[in-house]
Amino acid sequence: MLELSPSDEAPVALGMPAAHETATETASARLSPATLEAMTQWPVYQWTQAEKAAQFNPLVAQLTRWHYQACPAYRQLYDAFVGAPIATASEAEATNAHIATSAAMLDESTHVASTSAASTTTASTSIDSTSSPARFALPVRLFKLHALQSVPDSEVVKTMLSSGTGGAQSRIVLDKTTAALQTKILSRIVTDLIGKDRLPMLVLDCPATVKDRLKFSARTAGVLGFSMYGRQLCYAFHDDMSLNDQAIAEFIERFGQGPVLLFGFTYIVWLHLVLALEQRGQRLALPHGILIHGGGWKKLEHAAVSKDEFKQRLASVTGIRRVHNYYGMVEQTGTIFMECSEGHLHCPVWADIRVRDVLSQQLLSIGETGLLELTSLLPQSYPGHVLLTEDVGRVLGVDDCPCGRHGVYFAVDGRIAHAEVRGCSDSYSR
Amino acid sequence: MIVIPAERQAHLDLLAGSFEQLSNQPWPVWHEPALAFLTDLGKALMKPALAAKLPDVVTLAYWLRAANLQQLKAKASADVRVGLGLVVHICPANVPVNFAFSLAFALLAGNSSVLRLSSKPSPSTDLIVQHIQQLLATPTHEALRSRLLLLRYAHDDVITAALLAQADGRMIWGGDATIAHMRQFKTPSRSREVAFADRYSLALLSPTAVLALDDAGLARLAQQLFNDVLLLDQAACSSPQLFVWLHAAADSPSLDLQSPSPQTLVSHAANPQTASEPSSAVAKAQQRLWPALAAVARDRSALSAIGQMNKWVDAFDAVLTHPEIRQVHTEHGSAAGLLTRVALARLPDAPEQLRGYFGTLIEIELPSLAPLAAVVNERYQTLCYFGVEPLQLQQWLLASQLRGIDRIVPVGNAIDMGLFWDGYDLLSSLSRVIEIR
Repeated sequence: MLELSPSDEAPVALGMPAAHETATETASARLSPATLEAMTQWPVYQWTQAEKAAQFNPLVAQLTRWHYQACPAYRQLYDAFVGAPIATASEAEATNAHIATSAAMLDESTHVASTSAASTTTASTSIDSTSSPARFALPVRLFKLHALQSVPDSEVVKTMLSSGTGGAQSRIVLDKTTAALQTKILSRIVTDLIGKDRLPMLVLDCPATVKDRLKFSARTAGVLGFSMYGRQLCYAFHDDMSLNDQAIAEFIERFGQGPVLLFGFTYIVWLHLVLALEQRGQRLALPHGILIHGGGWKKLEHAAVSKDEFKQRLASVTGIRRVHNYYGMVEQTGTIFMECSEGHLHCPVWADIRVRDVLSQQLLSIGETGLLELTSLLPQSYPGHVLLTEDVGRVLGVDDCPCGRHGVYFAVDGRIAHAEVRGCSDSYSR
Repeated sequence: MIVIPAERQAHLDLLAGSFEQLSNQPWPVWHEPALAFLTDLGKALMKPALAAKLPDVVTLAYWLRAANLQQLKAKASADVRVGLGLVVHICPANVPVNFAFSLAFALLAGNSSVLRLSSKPSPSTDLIVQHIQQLLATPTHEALRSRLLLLRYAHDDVITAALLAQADGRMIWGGDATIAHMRQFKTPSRSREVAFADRYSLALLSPTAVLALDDAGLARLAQQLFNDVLLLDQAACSSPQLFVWLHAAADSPSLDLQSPSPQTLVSHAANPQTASEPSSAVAKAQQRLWPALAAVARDRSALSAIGQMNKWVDAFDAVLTHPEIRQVHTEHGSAAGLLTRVALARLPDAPEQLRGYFGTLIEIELPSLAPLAAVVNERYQTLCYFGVEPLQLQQWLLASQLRGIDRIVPVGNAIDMGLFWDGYDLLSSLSRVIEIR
């Protein structure tokens, strides 16, 4: 039998022969290890939005070009929606210097151009290699309908699934590079908040959540991901989600006097910690605790309470005063948006947020409420670097948050009405 | 009299009528008490204030007005016709107001009716039901109390089977799946069926005619298209999905009345480029028409955030599943951004698989009707036209021996219900003729 070296003949997905072909031919279009390494060293919140744009936007453009070349489905979508094909790698190289400068400015010129049907006709026949590609957002729900990937199956090291609350699950494939980037960037963001020293950690979840690693859910990923910033891990709940009094008491006995890290999903913290303690008239003493929570309210949307009420009632039963919510999604793991002491969500330097009108998709200004469009520099293995979410929010300001962080800060107000309930933790049964 | 057993009544949510008296004895068609009841219902619903809030209810009220019904009655044949008896209606969820049309058709044909209404909440349904209740309570319409029963019940095959077992006729809305489900149940040998399957509709537009419009004419056309496309979120079977622009080589669009020759089809398939480039007249007409429609959509605020999102996701999905799509014009940020226009480079084998909601316009340019004749099948229902002679369309339809298209109507009339619907002559279908000589 004839044997082929695996490195020579990577398996090609059926019906997508072009993926293999173009990926090989234009491998140089990938963001280089050196570029990515330099990127991970960027200061998390130090640059002003303008300073950031000069570094960030060219990389977004380069990512768009990479996925355009490596993912036939993405290319098909880009051509259909933007109406102006991107230059192929060889053509791009010739004009690379030009692109690098023009890409620094983010514009919508491609959309404007496509409004004229006459100009579209000419644009679709000639290749536009001089201007920067549009920041073209895919609806995040598309990842539930189609498997979109920019690397051959042989390079996939991990597949992440979103929670299937509404039926279908997002399927996000990671290669080594993307998985490493996610870990590295999450670490940069978290250590910026809690410092580089690992703290004793109380996980506000049950051990079963991480036991079955084959069922790799967003909740598992969250707990495992954040566990890297703690030591002496202690799970606060039994597998039936009741408080593990003994374990908690021992944890407080040993570490309660110093700073400790707590992590959990918002609705779990609320339901199984705050409400459970209130019901029992019980109090914990964690005056130096730092709680990081995220994931929203899921099926408990009807029971959701305001940010302030959450913090106040949490403080009264646990003594925890430092509480940081974060916003993020499995489709852009790593670049999470952390809440500062002012209660504002902040863009880290590797991510950007824009707000679009819920009806017209027009870009909105500061203070105007609309759909959140997220950009992340991390997705290399799948074309999810620019995503239109079904979450509604508004930009609160740029570069001027009293907490001192630069860049865009914003608030999330919820999901668009009647949207399929979607989130990043497991379908929940009490 | 039809009897509904007490133990079954407990599972039924009675909206109008009474369990104690339900007749299955026929009235003549166009019977005066039925006419009077429907006319009064129309009057009660004809409120200008409703037009903006519930335009579908106003459409019903308009159809029920005395002048319209009398005119239709005058056109009826002189045959002696009576109803079948009891008609059971399985009513749709996508177009709430159709339960009332269904009831009206059955009543005018001389039948009594049991209607299973959709459980989907609808202010239009609530309002109509409320007025039906009020009218039934008046002595004037006492005779109708034994002739209609409006019900809601959870999906329950036992109840449905019991109702259909007594049905002299059944009106089944809700498409293929509902029809298949309802056909499991036994019906009397002489029972008749009017079943509304899944259908697909299209519009035929002349770019020349669009460009020839003055501003007032354009505004009118935009309003008409709004009614066709967006009034019911494009969820009605008769709302156009595919918009065919006929190339205007000369002043009047040339209609190829013959069946397509194999050469025509082959040349289209082999050379999609020629078909994919929009002609300048079509491009100009599109630029004129769609922003006008988008402006109406914005003013009449028919769009919801989730509707828009679903529409965008559907368009992305369509691009990945249909290689015939050349471009999607979303034009975000401009007035036209409220519509999603999907441009086809060539006709897919089964265009009816491409469908959208909430203002998804699937567009294609064709030099003639010939390629269309090759894809039209029994799924096709309504052909709306603008700037094209209906007589020519009629000739084309007959000459091409099309298995589909039951309605050829001017734009603005796509969703207008009537006694002819979906290929049925409803009064004939729901009545029997008595031969007397």
